[in-house]
Amino acid sequence: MARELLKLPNWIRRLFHAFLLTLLMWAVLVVSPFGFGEHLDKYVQDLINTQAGHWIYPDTRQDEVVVLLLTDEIVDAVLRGQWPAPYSFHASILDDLLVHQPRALFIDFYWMNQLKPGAKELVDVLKNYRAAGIEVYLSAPSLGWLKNFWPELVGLVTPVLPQIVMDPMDFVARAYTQGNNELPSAAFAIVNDLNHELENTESRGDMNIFWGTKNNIRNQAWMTPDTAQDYNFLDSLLRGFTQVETPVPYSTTVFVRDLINPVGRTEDEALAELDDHLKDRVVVYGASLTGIQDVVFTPTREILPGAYYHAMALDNLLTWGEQFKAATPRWPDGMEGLSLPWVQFFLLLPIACFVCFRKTNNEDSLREDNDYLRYSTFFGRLCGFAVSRIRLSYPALRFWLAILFYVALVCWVQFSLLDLSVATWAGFIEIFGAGIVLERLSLVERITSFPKRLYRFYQPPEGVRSAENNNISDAFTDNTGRTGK
Amino acid sequence: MLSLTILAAQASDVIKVTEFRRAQINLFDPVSLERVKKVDAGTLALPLNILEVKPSGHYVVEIENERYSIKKRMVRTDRTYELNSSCKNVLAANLDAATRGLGNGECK
Repeated sequence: MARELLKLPNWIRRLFHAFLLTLLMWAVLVVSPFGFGEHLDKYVQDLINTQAGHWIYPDTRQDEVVVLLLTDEIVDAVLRGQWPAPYSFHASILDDLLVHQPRALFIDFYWMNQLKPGAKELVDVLKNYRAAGIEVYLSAPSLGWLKNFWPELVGLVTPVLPQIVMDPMDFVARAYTQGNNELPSAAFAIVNDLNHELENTESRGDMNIFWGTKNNIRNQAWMTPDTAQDYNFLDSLLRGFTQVETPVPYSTTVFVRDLINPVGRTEDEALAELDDHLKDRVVVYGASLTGIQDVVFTPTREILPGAYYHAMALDNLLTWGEQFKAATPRWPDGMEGLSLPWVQFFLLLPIACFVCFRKTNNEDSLREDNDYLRYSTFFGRLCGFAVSRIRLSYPALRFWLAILFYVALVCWVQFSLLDLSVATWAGFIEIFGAGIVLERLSLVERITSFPKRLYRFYQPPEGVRSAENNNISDAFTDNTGRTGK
Repeated sequence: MLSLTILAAQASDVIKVTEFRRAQINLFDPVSLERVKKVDAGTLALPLNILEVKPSGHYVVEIENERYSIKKRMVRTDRTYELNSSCKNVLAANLDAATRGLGNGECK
């Protein structure tokens, strides 16, 4: 029976090989012992974000979100270095901002106690925002907090969750929560109110932030990076990430010092420039103060004040809307019931079929081509030899290019159509590399031929088997020479 | 934004408020910067001598023998700007294993 199975038609055997290879690749894709695979996927995602972000992430909405940043200079100059600031200080800043008519305001501060100085002024300014029809969002630890601890603010601000989701493996802030305990996160609440387009996104879980990497011309005009950036694609290819920096940020930035001290060639010009930066923008009001632990470690290996985390999430949502990237796919209509691991299994199957049904070209590659010997000079022979090798390996090259094209297509489908984060499909790229190794080692053939070899192992050697057969034959042979049955 | 930060300002000898940008002007306490009262701009005599330029975005002026501060952005002045600055245009994130102490971040 076993022998019969081993003598199956060639195409069935190859199909079986393809199935096994798919299974192997799929296991590599979904199984992550000790989290190593997942870690690798996220690292690949970060590298792609950093090096290919220019091509992948559009900067079409870069102008719509502005970070209004409170820095040490103002705290030292105005508050004499004292922090936290009284509410009257914030009220004054927000009052100045109101003049420029932002589209919406997110206050990235926890204001926990209404009994501190300046609370009344703050409430007055927030009433002015309401009168101007500008929605204000305030960081709050829980849904009921506002009502219980500062009821005067109910109706003036929308409480939102400013929570940072850090990856436990590398502390990178890749994910952005949609909300928690019925309290929506800042970016989701704001974009929901502005666009009314984020419907039925709860099932997709946390958004995966794709960090913008294009230069912000407005920032580049006046900001300087914290450290010299001597990082390039070759470095990334050879060593991955090599440094942590605080660059000129992607999101448009205005320092509070420039808002309250508008300075230009003329006073009117300075105010007009502020108008140009702030009018009709979503403003994230946050702080970058030395010693205050409100910083994030971004996927592009940058350390930035936490306000930029919300600004980037807002940018992602304004750019992609419901098509934000996440680990859970956004299935097109009619495909809602599908399971991602199964889909990925079937996406892998053609790769395995390519590999297993490919006509072997070993004969070609081993064939001697001595044509190059007809050249008389060393250089001529060298060139001739190179050309002949390329010609002989062309079929293999064509084959791997076809696989590469398919892998790229599959990655694009998962990113653009299913809206999956890079880490979810980065395994396909890794498998492409591993597939070459697998194919070179003929691993699948070795595995599938293992039962056959095991079977042979337990069979007696050919000579012994013949002798045993002879003995049996002898036992059934009678005196007349006839063999018994 | 270039003009907002690279170009900082220093006051010349005596500067004056020449015009109010709003019909009503908030007057603040020059020390605590808390709002004291709101007055009609039309009731204030112009020009108003500016006694002090504060980094908090306020000018200190004297009205009816009382010192108040008013927001820079609420007024026009005859101030001429000298365009130099000691302010940093760096987005600094603290990478040091040290906690911030008081002050020393002021700039002009």
